[in-house]
Amino acid sequence: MGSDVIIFIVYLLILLAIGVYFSRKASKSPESYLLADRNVGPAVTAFTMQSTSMSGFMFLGGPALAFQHGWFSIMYAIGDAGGGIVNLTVLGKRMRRMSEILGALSPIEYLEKRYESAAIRVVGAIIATIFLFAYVFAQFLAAGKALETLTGWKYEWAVIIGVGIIIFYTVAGGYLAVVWTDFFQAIVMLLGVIFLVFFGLAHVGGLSGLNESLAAIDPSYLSIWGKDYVYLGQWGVIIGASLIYMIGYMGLPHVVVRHMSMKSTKTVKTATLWAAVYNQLFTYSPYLLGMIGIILLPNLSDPEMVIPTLAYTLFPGMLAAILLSAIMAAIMSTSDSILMQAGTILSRDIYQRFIDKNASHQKMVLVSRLSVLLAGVIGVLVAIIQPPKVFDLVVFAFGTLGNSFMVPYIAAVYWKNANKAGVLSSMIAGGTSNILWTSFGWESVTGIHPFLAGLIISIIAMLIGNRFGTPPSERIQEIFEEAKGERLLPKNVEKNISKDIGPEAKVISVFLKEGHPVRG
Amino acid sequence: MFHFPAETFWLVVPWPFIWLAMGIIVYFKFKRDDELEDQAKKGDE
Repeated sequence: MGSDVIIFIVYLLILLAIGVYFSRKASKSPESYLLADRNVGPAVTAFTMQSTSMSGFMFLGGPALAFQHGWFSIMYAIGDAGGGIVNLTVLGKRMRRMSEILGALSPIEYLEKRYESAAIRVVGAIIATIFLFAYVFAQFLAAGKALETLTGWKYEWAVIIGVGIIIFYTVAGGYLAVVWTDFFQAIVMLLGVIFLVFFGLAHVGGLSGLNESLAAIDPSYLSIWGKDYVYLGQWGVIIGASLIYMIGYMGLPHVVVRHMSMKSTKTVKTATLWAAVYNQLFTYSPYLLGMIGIILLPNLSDPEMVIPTLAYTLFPGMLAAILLSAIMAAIMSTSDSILMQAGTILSRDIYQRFIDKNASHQKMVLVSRLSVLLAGVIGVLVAIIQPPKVFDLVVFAFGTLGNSFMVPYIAAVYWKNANKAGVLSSMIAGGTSNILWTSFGWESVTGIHPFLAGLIISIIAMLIGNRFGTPPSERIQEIFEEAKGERLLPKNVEKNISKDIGPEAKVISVFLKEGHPVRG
Repeated sequence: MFHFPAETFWLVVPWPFIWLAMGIIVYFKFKRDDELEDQAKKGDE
C-alpha cells in the first residue's frame, strides 16, 4: 500500500471520528438530528454550502469540459463563483426567519407550510426524492470511479468503502456531522486545488504562457464560444451556463436547508463574506487545470481524469494523496448532504407526515437514521449494478431540481400573494421542461441552455398558475411580513404611527383629489 | 493582457472582482440592517 493510500485512509478515519463525536448530540431531538438545533455559525454555514454545492463535477466533469472546450468552460465557473453570495443574499435571512416561525425542519415541509398545501409536499417530495437519488447515485459512481483509478481497488469495493464511510458518519452524527465534515472537506478541497494550480501554472509559464500555448494548438480554445466556435453567437447557451450555478443552488433542497440551520439571521452577513472569498479562490481553479491539461497531457484518453493525472504527474507521493483526498472531499461533501436530505424527506415528509403523525422524538431520530441508511444502501446498490455516464446524470438532476424548486423558494419570501396553484404549476412545468430539453437535445435546436429554458417556463407557469389559486391565509401573510424583517422601529412606535399620522394622511389625500383644503 | 482576445478578457477577468465587491457590499448592508434591528428590539424592551 502506497503512502498516498495511507494518507487517504487517515483522512477517512478523521471523517468517521467527526461522525462518532457528534452522534450523541445529534440524538437529542429530531431538530438536533435534522437541523443541528439551528445553531450553525457563519464559517461552517458558508463552507458547508460551498462544498455541498460543488460536487465531484468540480474535479472530474468541470475540468473535462475545460479540457475539451478551453475558456468557454469558465462561464460555468463565473456563475459558480457568485452562487453562494447570491444564494445567501437572496434567501438567507428571510428563509431562516420564515422556516423557524413555521416550525419547518425540512425544505419540503417548509414549502407545504408556507403555501398551505399537502399536495405541494407530495409533489415536492416525489421530485426531490427521484432527483436527489439520481444526484447521489451519480456522486457514488464518481466516488467509485475516482477511488478505483487512484487506489487500484476494484470498482465494487471502492464504492462500498468510499460510500460506506459517508453513510456511517451521516447516520451516526446526522446534520451536525454533515456540516462539520463538509467544513473540513471544503478546506481540503481548497488547499488541494490551490497547490495544483500554482504548480500547474508554473509548468506552463503562467496565465500568459497557458494562453499562448493554447492559441498555438487551436485559437478557438481562447474564445468563449467553445472549441471550433461551436456555440458562436448562442447567448442562450452562454447565459444558461453561467446562470445554472449562479442561481440554480437556490432550488436545491440539500443546499437551501443551510439557511434554515443558521444560528440566527446575523449569521448571513459573515457567511456571505466567507463564501465570496472561498469561491474566488476555488471555483476557477479546476477549469484552469483542465486547460493546463490540454498542454501537459495531450494524449489523455479520458478527459475526466485530467486532475488526477496531473496530480500524479506533477506531484507524486504525499501531495498527490492530498489531491486524492480533495477529489473525494468534493464528492463526499455533496453525497452526505444529499443523503441527509433524502433521509429527511423519507422520515419527516413521508413517514411522520403521512404514516405516524404522533411519533415520539426518539422514534423520529431512529426513523431518520434508518431512512438515511436506506437511502445510502439503495444508492450503493444502484451504483454497483449499472454505471452509466456519470456527469450527464449530475447535470440532469441538478437542472431539474433547480428548475422545480428555485421559483417556489424565492416566491415564498418575496411574493406575498404567491399561492399553491402557482407553485404547483411552477414546480411541475419547470422540472418537466428541463427533462424534455435535456432528453431531446433541444439546446442545439433552440440555442437555449436547458436550465435557462426551465427557468423561463417555471416563472411563466408560476405567474399563470397563481391567477387560479386562492390568496394565502392572513396568518401566512403576517408571517411573510415578519420574515421580511424590515421593522426598524420599536413595536409601540409602529403601533401608534398609523394612529398619529392617519388623520393628516386623510386630509392630504382629500386635498389632492378635490383640489381644496379640508378643515381638520 | 495575458494573451487573451479582448472579448474573452472583458467577459472573464472582471468577475472575481465583481463578486468580491458584491460580497463586501452585502456584508456592510446586512451589518447595518442587523444594527437597526437590534435598536428596534431594544426599543421594544
